[in-house]
Amino acid sequence: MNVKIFALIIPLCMGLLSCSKNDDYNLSSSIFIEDTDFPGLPKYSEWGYNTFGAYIDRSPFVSTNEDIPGKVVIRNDTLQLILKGSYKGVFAEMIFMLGGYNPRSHSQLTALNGDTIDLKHSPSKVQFRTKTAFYNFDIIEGELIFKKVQRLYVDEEETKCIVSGYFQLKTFMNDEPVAISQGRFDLGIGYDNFFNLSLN
Amino acid sequence: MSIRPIALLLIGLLTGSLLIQGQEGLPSREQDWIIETEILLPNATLYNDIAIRQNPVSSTSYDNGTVTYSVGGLMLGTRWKWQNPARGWGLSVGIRAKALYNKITGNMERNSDFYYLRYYTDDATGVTKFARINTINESMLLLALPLEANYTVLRTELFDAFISIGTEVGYFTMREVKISFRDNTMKPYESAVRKSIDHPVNNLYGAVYGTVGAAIGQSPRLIGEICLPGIYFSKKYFMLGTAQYFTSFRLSLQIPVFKSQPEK
Repeated sequence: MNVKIFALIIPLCMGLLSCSKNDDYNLSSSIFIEDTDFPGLPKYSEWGYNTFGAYIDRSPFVSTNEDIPGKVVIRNDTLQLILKGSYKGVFAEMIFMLGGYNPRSHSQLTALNGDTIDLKHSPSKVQFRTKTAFYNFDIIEGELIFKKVQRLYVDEEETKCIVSGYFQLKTFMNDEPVAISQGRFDLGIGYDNFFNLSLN
Repeated sequence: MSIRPIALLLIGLLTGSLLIQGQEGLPSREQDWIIETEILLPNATLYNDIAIRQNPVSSTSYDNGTVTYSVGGLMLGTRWKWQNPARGWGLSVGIRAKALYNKITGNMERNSDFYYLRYYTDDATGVTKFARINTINESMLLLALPLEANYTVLRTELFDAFISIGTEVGYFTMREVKISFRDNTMKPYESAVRKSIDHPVNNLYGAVYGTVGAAIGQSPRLIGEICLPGIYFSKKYFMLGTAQYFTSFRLSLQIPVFKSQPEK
């Protein structure tokens, strides 16, 4: 092929790649706008800012820039909402396991829109783990609210699902009752963080 | 504003006006043609309901990105001025053409020269649409008729200092909104995007203002003025934001056309 054609095609491809990379960066990065009423936690939003946060007693458990903050994994008719972040300076993750949900793609997450899940009485589980500890929570009371789930179109192309809501629960850690309060999340769920393992 | 600067200003004005009284050797009547230009700086705030998603600033920052909302303009005008130099008073009327703009641009960090504007959301279907926007620019042309009174408070060998108060009324004769999309395939959806940023505007214009300035030279005179915050009669002259106040810097050339004999 003519060298001149290469000279035209290569910069064009680089340009296209850089555009898509930049778009991914903007929608997949975390934008942490601190809630002045609840220091250490992100302000509640519905923009797909890829943040979450909650107080575990007094200490914030929040998303970071390093780890992908949220993943949705579907396994055996159970939807796992995985929140990955930092608690007391170390990596930690909280997993909400919600029975009876089986969306085939991230677009179908809109079925959760407006749902409030009673974590005590529904077939749900909540797990929490750090590098050194694992808790399968025995829930005293609690709820997970999907306040708004939106299918996001960017320039008229469907890209992600924005999943936003609140959570709070009371449970035990090392036999001591603790409250997980003021929980909020605003996550963009798309190709890179949605996995339906039931389809395999 | 605290009491002290106001007291100093009043003392200055009083002293100046006493110096002006009874100035001899100056004509009692003079008419001038003024050509003027002005940089306009409205103090505008972006409407809260223009739904813009914040962009990340940098990979290391935990801060939020923002867009830049800028408002400004340029004026060209002419006035006819009647004045009594001996007493320091003057009155002028004229016409002014003002080109104004207000613009929302994305932050330029990490080559993100665009921002996401939410232009559609439907809770029933759970669909939200963003458009990637480089800039939204509203340009306007305003024709205004000013009425201005001024009073010379201080005369020195080098310059004369004066204060003025004025009002102007006018009409926005042209108003244009341009949306620059990141992806030109969004052009067919421009009207939907435009609808999401639309706000009612007032095309009848009015404002009051005061200025302080200095004039140098005799014929012609070069005048520089700073507008103390002027007040718009309405907040709704711009489609993208509200503005209550403005400041400006004005430069004028005052050409004497008629002078009576100096007073004795």
